[in-house]
Amino acid sequence: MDSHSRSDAKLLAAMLLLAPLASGCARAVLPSEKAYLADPIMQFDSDALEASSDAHVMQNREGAAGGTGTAGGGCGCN
Amino acid sequence: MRAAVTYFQEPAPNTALYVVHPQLSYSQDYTDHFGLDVGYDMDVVSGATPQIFGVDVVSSATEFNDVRYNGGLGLRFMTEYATLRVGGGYGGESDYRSGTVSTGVTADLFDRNTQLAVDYTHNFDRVCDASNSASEQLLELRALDSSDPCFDNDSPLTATRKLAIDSVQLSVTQVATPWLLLQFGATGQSVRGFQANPYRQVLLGERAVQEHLPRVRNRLAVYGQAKFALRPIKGAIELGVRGYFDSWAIEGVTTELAYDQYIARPLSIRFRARWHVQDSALFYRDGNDYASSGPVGSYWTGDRELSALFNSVYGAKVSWTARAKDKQFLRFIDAFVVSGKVDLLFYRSLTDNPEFSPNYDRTKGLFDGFVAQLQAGFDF
Repeated sequence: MDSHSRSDAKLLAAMLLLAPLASGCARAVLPSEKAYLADPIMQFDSDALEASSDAHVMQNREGAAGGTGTAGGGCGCN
Repeated sequence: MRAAVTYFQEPAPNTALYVVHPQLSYSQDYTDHFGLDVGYDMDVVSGATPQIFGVDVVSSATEFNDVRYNGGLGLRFMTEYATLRVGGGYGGESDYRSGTVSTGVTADLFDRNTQLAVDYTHNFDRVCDASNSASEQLLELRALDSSDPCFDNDSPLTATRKLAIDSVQLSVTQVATPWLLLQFGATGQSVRGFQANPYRQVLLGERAVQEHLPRVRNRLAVYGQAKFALRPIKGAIELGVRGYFDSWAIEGVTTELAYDQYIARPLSIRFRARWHVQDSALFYRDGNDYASSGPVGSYWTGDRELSALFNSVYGAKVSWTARAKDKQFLRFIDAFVVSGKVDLLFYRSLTDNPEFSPNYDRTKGLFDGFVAQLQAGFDF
C-alpha cells in the first residue's frame, strides 16, 4: 500500500469514526419515532451465528482481528 | 434456538481446504432478570497445506484432517436499563486447547437512544509444539511432525506451550435519527506466548527452520458503522469502516457495504461486499527473499495473515421469518427463521513477489474461497 492511498484510507476511516460524535447535537429520538429502527433488518449483527462464522473465516485469513461490532441496538428499546 | 451449517472451500490446486462448520445456539430468558445462552460449534477440516514456506508448494504440501470443537455457556443478569453478562467456554482440536472466561455489561442511556457495551475476555490457551528446548539455537528449531502425541506429558516428542489472550471491547450504539443508527467502538487485545504454527517451516538459505514469531503481540482495532433505513422501499443500507494496528507493524483498513431489501415480507434479501487491505508484518518476507537473503532479525514466518494483502468478499443472503400472530405454532413457538447465504472470497497478494507469497497457490481459480450457509431456528 503506498503512503498516499494509506493516508486517504486513514482519512476516510477517521471521518466515519467521528461521524457518531456529530449525532450528539441532534435532538433525542422519541420511542414513537422508532418504528423503522425496530425492524429486524435495522439490527447490527442480527444473525449471531453468521457473524461468528464470518469472523472465524476472516480471522484465519487476515492479520486484523476485532472491531467487528456489537449486536443489537436497532430500536434502542430493549 | 438456532442451528446452522456452513460449508467453506478454498479450491486451490495444491493446497485446497474444505471445512464443514455446524453451529448450535440456545438462548432463553427464564425471568425478567435472568437469561441463559448456550452455544456449540465444530470445524471438520480436511485439505492440504505446504510444510515449508519458500520452496515449491507442490512438493511440500501434505494432507491433513482435523476436528475442532468449541462449547460455551453464558449467564445474563438484567435490570430495566442494563445487562451483566458472564460466561466461559472450552474448545479444542488435536494440537490446540482453549479455555475462555468473559464478562461484559450493556447499558441503555439517554432515553434508550444510546447503548454502551463493554466486554472483557481472557483466553487460557495451550499449543502443542515439537519438544524444542528453551536453550535451542533458533536455527535449530524443529517443526512438529504430527499431532499424534500432543498433550501427552510422557511423550519426549512434543511439548505444550502457553498462550494467554486478553481482549477488551468497547462499543457505543447511537440512535441518531428515526432512520439512522450509528455504532462506533474499539477492540484492544494483548497476546502473549507461543504464536507460531508449530508445523510450518521457513526456508532460510538452504535450511528449513520452524516458524519463529515474537511472543508478545498487542493489537488495536477501531471501527464505526452506520445503518440507514430506506423507508419507501422497506430496505436498509449499512456502511462500516475498521482501522487496525498492531505491535508487529501490521496496519489495515476494512470497509463493508451491505444492502437489505424486503422482497415480500417476511422474505428479505441481503447483498454485501467487504474489502480488507493490510501491510506486512515487520519481519515478513516473501519466500524467495528468506531463501536468498535470510530473515529480518530473529523472526520469520510463512503465514499469509502476516503478509501484505487485499481480500474481498461478495455475498448474498435470503432470510424468511414466519411470526405467529393470534396463536403460537405448536402452542409454544413464536417464530420460525430460515436463511441461506453464499459468499465468494478473492485474495490478492500485495507483496513484492506475489508468486512467492503464501496465498499464491490459492489465487489461481475463478474465485479463491467459497462459503455457503444454511440456517434454521425458532423463537419460543
